[in-house]
Amino acid sequence: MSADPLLSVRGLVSGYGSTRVLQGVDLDVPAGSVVTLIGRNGVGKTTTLRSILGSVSPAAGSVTFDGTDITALSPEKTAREGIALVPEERRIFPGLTVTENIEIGRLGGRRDTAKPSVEAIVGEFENLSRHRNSKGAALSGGEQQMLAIARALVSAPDLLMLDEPTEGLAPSIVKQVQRKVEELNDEGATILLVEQNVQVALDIADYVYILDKGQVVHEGPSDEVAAADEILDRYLGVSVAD
Amino acid sequence: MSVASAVAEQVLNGLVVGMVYVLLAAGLSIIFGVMDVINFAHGELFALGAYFAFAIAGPLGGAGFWVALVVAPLLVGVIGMAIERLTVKRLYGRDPLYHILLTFGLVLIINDLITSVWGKSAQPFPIPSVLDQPVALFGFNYSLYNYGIIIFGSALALGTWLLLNRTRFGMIIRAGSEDREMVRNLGINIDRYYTLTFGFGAALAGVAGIVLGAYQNVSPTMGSSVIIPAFVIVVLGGLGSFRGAVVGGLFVGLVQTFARTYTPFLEGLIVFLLMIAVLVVRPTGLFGTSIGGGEHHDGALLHGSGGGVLSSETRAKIGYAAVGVLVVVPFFAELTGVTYSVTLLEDILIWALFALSLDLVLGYAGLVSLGHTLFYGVGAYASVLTLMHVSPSVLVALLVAVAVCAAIAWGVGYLSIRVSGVFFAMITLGFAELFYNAVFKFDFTGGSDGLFGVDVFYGLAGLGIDPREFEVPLGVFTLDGGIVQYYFLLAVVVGSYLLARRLIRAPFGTVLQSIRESEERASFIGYDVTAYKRRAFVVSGGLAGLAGGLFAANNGYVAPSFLHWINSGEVIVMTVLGGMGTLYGPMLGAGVFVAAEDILSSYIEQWQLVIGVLFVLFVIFVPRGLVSLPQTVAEHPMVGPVIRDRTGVKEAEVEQHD
Ligand SMILES: Nc1ncnc2c1ncn2[C@@H]1O[C@H](COP(=O)(O)OP(=O)(O)OP(=O)(O)O)[C@@H](O)[C@H]1O
Ligand SMILES: [Mg+2]
Repeated sequence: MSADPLLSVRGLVSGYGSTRVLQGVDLDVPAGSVVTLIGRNGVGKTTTLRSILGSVSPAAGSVTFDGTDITALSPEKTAREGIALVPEERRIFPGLTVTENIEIGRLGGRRDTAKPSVEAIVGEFENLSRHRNSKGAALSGGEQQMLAIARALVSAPDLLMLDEPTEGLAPSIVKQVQRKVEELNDEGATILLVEQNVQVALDIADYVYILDKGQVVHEGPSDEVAAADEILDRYLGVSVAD
Repeated sequence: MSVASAVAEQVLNGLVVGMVYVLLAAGLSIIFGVMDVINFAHGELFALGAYFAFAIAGPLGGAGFWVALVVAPLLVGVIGMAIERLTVKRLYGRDPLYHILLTFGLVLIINDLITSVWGKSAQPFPIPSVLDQPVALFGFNYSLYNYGIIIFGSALALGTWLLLNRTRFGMIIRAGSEDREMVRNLGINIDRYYTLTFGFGAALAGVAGIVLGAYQNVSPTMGSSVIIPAFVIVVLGGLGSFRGAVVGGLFVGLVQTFARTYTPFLEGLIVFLLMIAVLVVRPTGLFGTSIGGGEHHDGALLHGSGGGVLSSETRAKIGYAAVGVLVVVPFFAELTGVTYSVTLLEDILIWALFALSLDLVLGYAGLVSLGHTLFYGVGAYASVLTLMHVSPSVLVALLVAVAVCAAIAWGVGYLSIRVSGVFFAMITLGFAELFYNAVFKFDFTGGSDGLFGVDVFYGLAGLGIDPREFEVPLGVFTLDGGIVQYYFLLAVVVGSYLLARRLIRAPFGTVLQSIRESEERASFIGYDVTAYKRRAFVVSGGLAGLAGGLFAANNGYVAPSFLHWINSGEVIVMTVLGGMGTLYGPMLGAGVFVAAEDILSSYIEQWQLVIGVLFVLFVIFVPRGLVSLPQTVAEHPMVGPVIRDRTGVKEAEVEQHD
């Protein structure tokens, strides 16, 4: 791993009200890599992403992004630093058209960076360009996922965080999403990926963190983790076929 | 005039009124859609628009109207933005109830300011002379000003639509009304847009006020008379839907106008009947897509609590002491000649009972009943009617009042409790307004005069006390009928409190409280949440009816004003002021509110303003009510340690907030 990761999380403690969900999480995302965070339901993966973004305020620990301490920043400010989140359940704006969903994404993100045009982004997603004027609500699940990714990409983020992008999608669509993420990485994007689908996660990622009960219990390059049957079984209850 | 022209004229009249409603409802709906704020003060902003224009146009003469039409809405817009910045903003993330409360306080403030500047009576606001002439079209003469309203209103509505749908501002507003948090996550500071949105909605209301003010006249009640129809329109059309506001506004304008001409009996009723019908069939309204606005706020209702500082024994002692004082007051009043204090106490006791009844649904079942005066008023009518036609016995009258109100509560609850939150609030408000308007229509309810001149008998079947004949000399003073009335009232109120307390401590109350904590969990455990809420509503309706019945029996009259929505607002204020969810808190709140109103109104003219300001401060800073004050003080970082040292409260028991 490079000495100076783009994102660096140290001792992150966070939760809701008096419940502590994260009990000191450490993780690094080097520039240009895909790092995945996997774990069972409810172990705190989403909470980790939300704490990085600032929609949940960390109680302790630090988040450093591109050399800047962003621990205490609000989500608006964090997004302005160049972190984009593709959230769980996509959360596109159902009453806005595809174009508008992307336009509004383009209003966000860093102010001092060149952003692709809405047209250019729509053009990159075949299944969106057919529906530019449809309302978000009219799209299929896979299309909505693509739209959520497009909305994030148009802000030209330095770090893209994806929360379970393949959840609830048909296997063929999962493949499409997977290809899209790989393609983005090939183009140089830095990605922090939360996935339930361990197979997909291990396929895409360079480096893996396994989260359990609010702590990182195992980490390593993805091929090593993929081979560690016993660990996968213990923390995820799965075995990955190869 | 031919039938066709007569109808055409009605259509035009309907469109004129409808346009005013469209402008009013559009702002209300946008504000709700984007910020989840139910803005009761919208009607007062509407009135402010009219009065500002009145004040600007008057001195300027000729072109004054046109200057006013531009400047007044801008002023109202600025006031709207200030309101958002200074007050509304502080409550984002809390339950929408707090916005209802806050804006209700603002109604009192703005309305009082209007009357103190411009007086209480209506004033003519002449339309500009260029527009003050008839136009012959469709075979009849019709005012150019009215055509102007229709054209100008359409243009403004179109402009608003373009703003919402064709501009960046509009796009962000629409996105925010769907998912506020996601807009923030993209890096967009939506709070700035809130202020603008509030200002914009306020300015639209201001325009509507000017248009209507010049069509009729300007009066301090113009705000409170349009706010309820405006809510109906927003609910009919679908909360947060601009299209709904436009269609609903025009529709209600037309329906009202036609009803006035062709079915006068239904005027004032039909709109509420429609609203109830629509909500029962389609709770999201005609064009609404979802229930509620953009954010899933976790902000629950904040309950009063005195725990941690006052032990329950201390509180019980205070309770006994309070009842003890109430028992001896008449003697002192008699001795000192301040008999007036007994009348005040009777008022307080009745409002305390009313607030207690509301607390059962608001504080324990988490249901925001915005129309609770429905039961108070119906109870009063039922008891007076019983006294007049059935029996002079106050016991019979009260029994009937309770039974009738419980039955109505059952019916209303049956229709409305499956839709929760804001819709429940609106349906209860709709029913209350329906009854309010209905009592004007019938002879047996006495129309706008109400019913008066009943005498009561405290007993049954001839056994009991007739207060007119009751007189017991007791040394220096005489016990008379007034005393009987007072003690009877005191007994009923204390009895109702004990009953409510029993109910809350029974398994029924425990379930209610677990529903209040987490509805999901309660239904998961297997409780029929809806059934429990309905039962609480029935009990609450019965008790509110008892309060109304008592008032009517005591004072020997009932009037339509018993059903006016202001009462519903005031009783909510009392409940929250005292601390909901505690039973004794709301009663305390009623005491403080009624006494403050009574005392303030006899010393200062602007008492509404003072109450409004105090209340707004309370909603913002002491949302848990008066009963929470001891704890709040104990938790204060500066005072806390001192009190803790003195009272020996352990550090760990008092959670620090920073
Ligand atoms: N808004 C919230 N308020 C209170 N508790 C929450 C909230 N959101 C999540 N939690 C709790 O925090 C814990 C961690 O949730 P989180 O969403 O981070 O898990 P996750 O790993 O993303 O799970 P999943 O795989 O189901 O998405 C869970 O126990 C959850 O119930
Ligand atoms: Mg998750």
